[in-house]
Amino acid sequence: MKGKTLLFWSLVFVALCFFFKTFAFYTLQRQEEVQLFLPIGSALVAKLWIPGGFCSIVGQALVQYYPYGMTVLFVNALFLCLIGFLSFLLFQKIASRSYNLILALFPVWALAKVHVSPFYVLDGTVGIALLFLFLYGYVLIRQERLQVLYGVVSTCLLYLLAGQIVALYGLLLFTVTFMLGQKRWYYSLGVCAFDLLLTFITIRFAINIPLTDGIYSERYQESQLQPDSYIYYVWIRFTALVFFLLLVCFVLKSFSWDKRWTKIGITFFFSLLFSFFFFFNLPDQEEILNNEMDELVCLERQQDWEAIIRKYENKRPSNYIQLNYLSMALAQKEVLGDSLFHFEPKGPQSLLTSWDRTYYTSALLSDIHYHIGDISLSESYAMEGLTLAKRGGSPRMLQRLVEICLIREEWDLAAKYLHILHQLPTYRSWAEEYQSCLYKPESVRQNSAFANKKLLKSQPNSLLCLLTIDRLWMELLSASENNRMVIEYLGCSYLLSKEMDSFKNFLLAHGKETLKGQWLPVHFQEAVLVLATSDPAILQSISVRPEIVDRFKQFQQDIRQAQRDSNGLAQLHRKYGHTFWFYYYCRNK
Amino acid sequence: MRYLSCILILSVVFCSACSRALPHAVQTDEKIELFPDYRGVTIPCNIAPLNFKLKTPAKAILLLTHGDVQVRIDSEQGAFQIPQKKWKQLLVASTGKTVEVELYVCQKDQWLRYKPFQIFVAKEKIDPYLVYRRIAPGYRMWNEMGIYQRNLEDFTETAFLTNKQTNNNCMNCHSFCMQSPDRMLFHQRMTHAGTYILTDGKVEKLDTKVGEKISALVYPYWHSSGRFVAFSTNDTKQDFHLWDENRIEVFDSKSDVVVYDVEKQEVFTSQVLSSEDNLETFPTFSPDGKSLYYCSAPTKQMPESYKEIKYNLLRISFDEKTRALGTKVDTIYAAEREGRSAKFPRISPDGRYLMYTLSDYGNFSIWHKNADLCLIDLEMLQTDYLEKVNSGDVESYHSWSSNSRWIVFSSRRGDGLYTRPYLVYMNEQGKMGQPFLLPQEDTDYYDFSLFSFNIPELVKGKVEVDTYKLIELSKYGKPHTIQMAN
Repeated sequence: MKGKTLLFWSLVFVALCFFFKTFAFYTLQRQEEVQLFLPIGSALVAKLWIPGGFCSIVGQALVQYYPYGMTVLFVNALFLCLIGFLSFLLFQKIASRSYNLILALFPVWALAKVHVSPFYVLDGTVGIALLFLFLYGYVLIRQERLQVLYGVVSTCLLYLLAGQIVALYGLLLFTVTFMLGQKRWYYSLGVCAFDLLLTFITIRFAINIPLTDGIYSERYQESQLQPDSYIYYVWIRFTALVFFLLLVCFVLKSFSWDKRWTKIGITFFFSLLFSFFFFFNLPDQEEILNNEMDELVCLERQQDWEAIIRKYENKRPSNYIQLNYLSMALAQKEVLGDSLFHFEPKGPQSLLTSWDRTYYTSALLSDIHYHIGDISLSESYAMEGLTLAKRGGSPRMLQRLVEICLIREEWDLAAKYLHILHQLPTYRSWAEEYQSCLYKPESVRQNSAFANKKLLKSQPNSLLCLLTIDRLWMELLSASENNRMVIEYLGCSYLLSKEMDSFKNFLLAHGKETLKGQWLPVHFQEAVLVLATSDPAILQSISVRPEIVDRFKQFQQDIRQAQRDSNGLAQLHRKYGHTFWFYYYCRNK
Repeated sequence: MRYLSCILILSVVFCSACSRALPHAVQTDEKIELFPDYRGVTIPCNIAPLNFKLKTPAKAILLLTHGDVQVRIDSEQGAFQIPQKKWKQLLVASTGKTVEVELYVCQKDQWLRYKPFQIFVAKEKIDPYLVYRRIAPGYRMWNEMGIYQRNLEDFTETAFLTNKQTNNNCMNCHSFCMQSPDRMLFHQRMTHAGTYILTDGKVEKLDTKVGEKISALVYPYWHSSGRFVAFSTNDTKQDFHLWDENRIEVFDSKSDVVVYDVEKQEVFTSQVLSSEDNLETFPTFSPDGKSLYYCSAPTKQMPESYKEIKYNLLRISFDEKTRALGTKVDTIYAAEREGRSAKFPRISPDGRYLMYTLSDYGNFSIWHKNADLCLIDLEMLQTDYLEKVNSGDVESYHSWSSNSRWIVFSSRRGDGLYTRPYLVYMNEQGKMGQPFLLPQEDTDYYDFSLFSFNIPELVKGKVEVDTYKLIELSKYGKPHTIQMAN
């Protein structure tokens, strides 16, 4: 390899690392939690015999290390550089031109864009890399009969390793042979037909998603829970792109490459074209938002609550998911009741978003309920998450279920989950730590990780549909009065839904007692003043700090003033936007 | 000749030197933990090897002996995979008798010899195939699922249909006509919805929405003639418990029983089977086809009264020639008097025994830890509460083998959540053997599986169907509509 080429691909590698770090670092990292890759000999061998099993194994084996350091960047950038470099070598075989380096960037960038999608998995890229390796091996062979033999052998190998991509391999192999101008190019038609036949057999006689499903739209692919058809969607479009690039190489082969201006002109044209392609394929807003949201998940898993709060110090959360993570972080720091309204919440869903039947919200809701101490609901969402994870399960959900089983004292089930987690290299030490709690109720009760988390005693009519969530939280509070998380969530849920009567009852029943010796959270005190406007007697039983009382008096004057001023609301917002009063009097539910 | 004799003698000496001697071991009366635990079970003479492992891995030797036939398995980790050929030889030799199982385990450099136990090998064969749906025990959602058929004589499992090829839809309620692989049905829900009837390899897709009243047919049971299928129609809801040992509750707010005429493609019912005042469900024909059993409970306000719903087990007559459903109702299990709720009546093909599930209330027993199996001798009218078969956890769905000697049932006794199939022997007098977990080739199979086995059905052979055509019909085929009979 020439130094210049090496330098070029090194730069591409760095650029790709930068790209993934900026736009897809967390999206890629989260792939690890929606796969359950068991590195057990018998399972691996069985998988290897399924066409495409190798790609799946390599993909999942690498993805399991994504959360560690920069692995995620190196793995993805390396695969894309390999594919780019092999495409460059292929283009060079057709016509050795300097613009081939630019042409080779097209497939790299197209794949980079695909990698940002949460629906795509690395297996697809492994398959493409294999296809290019075999294809390049084919063009290296000069003897035509040997080429045919290689074509058949490589077809069988590629079929076993990568599955139905072999049909696309056959088509590209034929195209390349034709473009290389080989005398007996029609030999490769036989290999191509063999490839198509193998794929047909797979579709006709095996229970597999057919490659042809990849033809359907991206929206269709996203609605499928299994990643296979999304991989096929990428493979088909990627092959079409490579075919088009090969065609360009082939057509330009006939152009004279001696003239300086021709060289400059064509290189400039391709550079311009790539620039358009680059900008056209930059990650869209949704993908950037996905990455941001996935960052929240990663921070939550690290229990870096300050980092979550810091993220929104100067930027308001834009959706319920972000608000949910922020509320969870504030509650963990015991400041939810003091700071929630600083972040402009939008109704009760700011604490608990509605479940949208995705893995994402299942995991989020399971975490919120778990932290509150609501074990049954947490378990239900963890089970949903385990089911909805696209690749056989989720180690993260299994961890949650282990914790819940230990609390429920369902030892055999906890042992089963721990046994599975123990097989995963990156979860082994966690599993060992929790294995020590198995069959030891005392050890679970004394473990600080399970403080305030217990299954409530069996009661009649315990169905969710017969209860409201606040009734459940009230029950939790009765069972464990010092559970500050429940107090803050319950109080804030009343404030967000502006249910002042319920808030009053809650305060009178629990607020005073459970926060004995402490001031109530600031927003609760603000709400007490709102209650006092119609029931001044409440101030005799619940005390409010004098400076808050003074501020409320000022607010009452200012709101009257604001009603007379066309710009009054904005001024009021600047001054009181972070208070419950502004939310209560000036915002719709 | 002399050379030949020398070679022969040397061979014998060599071979005997090769046969491994058992280690010097200390006899112990302690009980070692095994998984699956096959101690004292009764097995059919055509079952696949009972592979098992020690719960605590250790170097071990397994000896399976009947008379002169002995199989020895050495294992470094205490996981025993018995060679199929040797296992078959052992079963042939021990049919109708017992196999003695002996374990030598090396612990802390000391070999221990555990007290041998016995496995009883029944003369009667079990139907060679078991068909089940494999699905994660999710709450509201599903992902991967499929209907699979497992050859019980070896470990081959083939997919009848998985939802990977049918756009992740839901499939359920596979049902066979008298354990025949040639006549069956199953439903698909959500995408490609319909009831699919397979007759001798041909597939028919039915749209089972009948007028306003019936949106879909649910729990099926074939008439022995193959001409009728009894279905329930259920308006089912699911919710979960916030504080209860049971996690999920599934209940009906309405349900009726109807009979589908396969030839005329129409459904019919009677006042008894579809009254407004009662919830009728889980229909089952008797093997002679002359009776229809079903469960029924008085309608109550749901979900508020979900714990008060207790199903009776009832019977009416049925005339296949005139399609007449009887009006006289016999009560087999009176829920109000007995205090519990009955479901899944299944009659042995010889017509002598009726097995059903009992739980404290409701009809979806797989989520009720107190659900147990029960057996009625229809000749002697005696009930057996099957203490030997039931466990402290859930026992629920069950089906009979065609010779009435074997039963498969689903139970959550393993870990409390994942449903697994257990096989149990019943002799002609209705006496039960010790049930055993369906053996798997890999002794770690159940440890790593995050799937439940639903609706285990014993079948006399492999269901032969062109899966590709089935999928094509499912995706693009136009369903036949069915009518309500006048």
